[in-house]
Amino acid sequence: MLQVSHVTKKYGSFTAVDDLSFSATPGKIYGLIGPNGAGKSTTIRMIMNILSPDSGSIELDGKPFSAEDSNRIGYLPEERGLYKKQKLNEVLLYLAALKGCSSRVAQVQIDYWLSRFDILEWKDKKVDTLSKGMAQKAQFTATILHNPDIVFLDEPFSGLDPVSADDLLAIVRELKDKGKLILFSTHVMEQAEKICDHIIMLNGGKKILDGDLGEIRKRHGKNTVTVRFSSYDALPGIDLSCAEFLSSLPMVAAVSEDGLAYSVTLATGFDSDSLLVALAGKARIDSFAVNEPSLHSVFVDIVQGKGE
Amino acid sequence: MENSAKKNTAKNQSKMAVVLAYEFKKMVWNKTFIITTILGPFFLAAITILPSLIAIKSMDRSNQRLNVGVYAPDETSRANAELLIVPAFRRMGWNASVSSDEPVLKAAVLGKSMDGYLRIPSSFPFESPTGELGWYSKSVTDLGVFSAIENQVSDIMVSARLMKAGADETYVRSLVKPVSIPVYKLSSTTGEDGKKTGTGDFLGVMFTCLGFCMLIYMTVILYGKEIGRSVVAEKSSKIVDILLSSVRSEDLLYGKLLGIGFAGLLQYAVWIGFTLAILNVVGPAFHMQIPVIIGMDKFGWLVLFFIGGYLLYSSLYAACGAASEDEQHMAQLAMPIIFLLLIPMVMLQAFIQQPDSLLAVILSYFPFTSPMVMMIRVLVSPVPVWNILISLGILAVTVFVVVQLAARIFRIGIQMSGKNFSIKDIASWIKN
Repeated sequence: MLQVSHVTKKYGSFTAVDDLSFSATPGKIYGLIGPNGAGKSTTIRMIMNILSPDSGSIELDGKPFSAEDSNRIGYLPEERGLYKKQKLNEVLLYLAALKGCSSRVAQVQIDYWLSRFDILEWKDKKVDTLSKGMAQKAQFTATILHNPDIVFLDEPFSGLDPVSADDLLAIVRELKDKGKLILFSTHVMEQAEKICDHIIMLNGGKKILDGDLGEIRKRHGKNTVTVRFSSYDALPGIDLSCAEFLSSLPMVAAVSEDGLAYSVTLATGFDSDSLLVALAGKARIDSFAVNEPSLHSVFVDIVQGKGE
Repeated sequence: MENSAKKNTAKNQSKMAVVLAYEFKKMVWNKTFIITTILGPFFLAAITILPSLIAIKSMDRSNQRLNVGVYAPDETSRANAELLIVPAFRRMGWNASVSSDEPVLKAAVLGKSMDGYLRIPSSFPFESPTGELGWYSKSVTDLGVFSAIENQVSDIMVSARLMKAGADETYVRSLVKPVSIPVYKLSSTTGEDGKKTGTGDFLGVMFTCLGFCMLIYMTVILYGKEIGRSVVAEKSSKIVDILLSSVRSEDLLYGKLLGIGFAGLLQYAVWIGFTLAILNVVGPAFHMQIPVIIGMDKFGWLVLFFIGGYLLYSSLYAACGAASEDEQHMAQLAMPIIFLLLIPMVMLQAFIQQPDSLLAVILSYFPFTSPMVMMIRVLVSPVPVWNILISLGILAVTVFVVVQLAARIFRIGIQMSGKNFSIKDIASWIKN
């Protein structure tokens, strides 16, 4: 388990990370999200012992971070780079050796991952002959070939085409299923929504949100449901218009019409289930969707002081 | 999680050693390195052996076959030239002829069928009015030839004047007999009282000093730059983030210094081994007389001073690299450092002539110049071993301190991307 407690890091008078605390357990994907300059990279660098915090502590399995712990971490930095003039295989072997991995074990892993990414034939080519996408895959290989327990991915999808991004996503999920702790940092919140189990949101160096993604959505949901009926005429035994009918229900606070769909805001104290029960048998429902808030809107709400 | 951690820890070799091995291999498997290593011995042989040979050759023109002419304006001077000058030149093995046709001589010299001609006045050998006696040659810098001619003509004229004044011919000959002063070099390290050395020894020593200094200067700058460059490349390619997530910045720096340093030592070992092989095996096998003015001990000091100079300058280069985004800025930051290295190169001749002058002695202890200046002093004068050891000691202590400072600059600089830093910034990093 990774435990970050009251960590603060200042650059001169600028506070990059301000009293940040969170914990992370294996087998989950954590999203460290927030706009550029929120303190994500500084936090990751402190966890990896590249930077030391001004105050606070970072512990792994209840012990302070040691130099040897770096072997348990795989890191994909936001700004990618490998030795350009060296052969890909040599660079990967070197990086694996720096993680305490023997060349025999590393070679097996390199061959496995490069063939999985379909770039095995580039093994003995110089790094600067690789395309951007291939270099990304090579870099990801370098991140995980020593079988780390903790994987830090800083903007892993930037610059990847959709197919490669899906491949990568599948591998990240695989790593999660193998019980790895994955810390994923991005400023693109839509990506985090797709992947993460848990969200830690930073803004201006401060933690503004920390919780399970489902919980967060529930907590920050606007309590709206979008309902679509087959047609208005298909409401037998009811004289009211569709909108009037919805408005007459006790759990409905407001209704807005959007073509054949209706956006229903639930009254306080009611949940979407009660609406579904009330509609059951009375209307032919084509779709019934509880609207979940996007992380983006949650972020905007919190920053504007509406949430939390 | 625990299991794989243990597995990794068990396999955890020293990260510094990993960096060292990688940098060493990268350096050694490099075309430039292989070429310089192969060509190096020829360079080293050239600077230690050839100069002596060349120097002796150029000083001792009497063994060289020259074709010289003598211009005599009239019958009398012509007869005197045939009688006095031609035999003297022939004694040195030269081919000499007398002519009264100056344009023909001039054309012969310009056409390279003649090395030069001596113009004598009609009053020769008793008087030499200004402008009438002279040596005309295409090459006026060949001091060996000129001094040989000057000596001969001077002897002839002085003898003639003495005889004209009434002195006896044999008496005059005994008076003008040239005195040859043999040169002995005293050495406290070999225990010999002195060893007679060749006449070309001064130039030989001079070239050897120049060669040794060039060798230290070039290798220190070459390897130092290589380290600075590799740091800048790691910063600009952003791989440094991955490296730092695996290895402490100190281990990265020391691994680099030692890895490239060992490559340098390998190169020196090849060079010296090859040179010794030429001197001790190839030379005797072909019965070649190779005049050598440096002994094994000098090579030993050379290697030690190279190690010190290399560590000192390359750690500074690494610090400069860490504070730079590009190589141009690194070169700018390194400029003052290179100036220190240039001092001995510029003052080389003065130090060789006056190896025990106050400035030479001070600079042979000042760590930034000692690798070269002490090396010069060791080559040309008998410096007590303990003096050399003190100089090396000061160098070692400085290396220790500078490497620590460089590590501090390196640690901060290497993580700061996107900007070139000034010396002022670097100073503030050291303070923090």
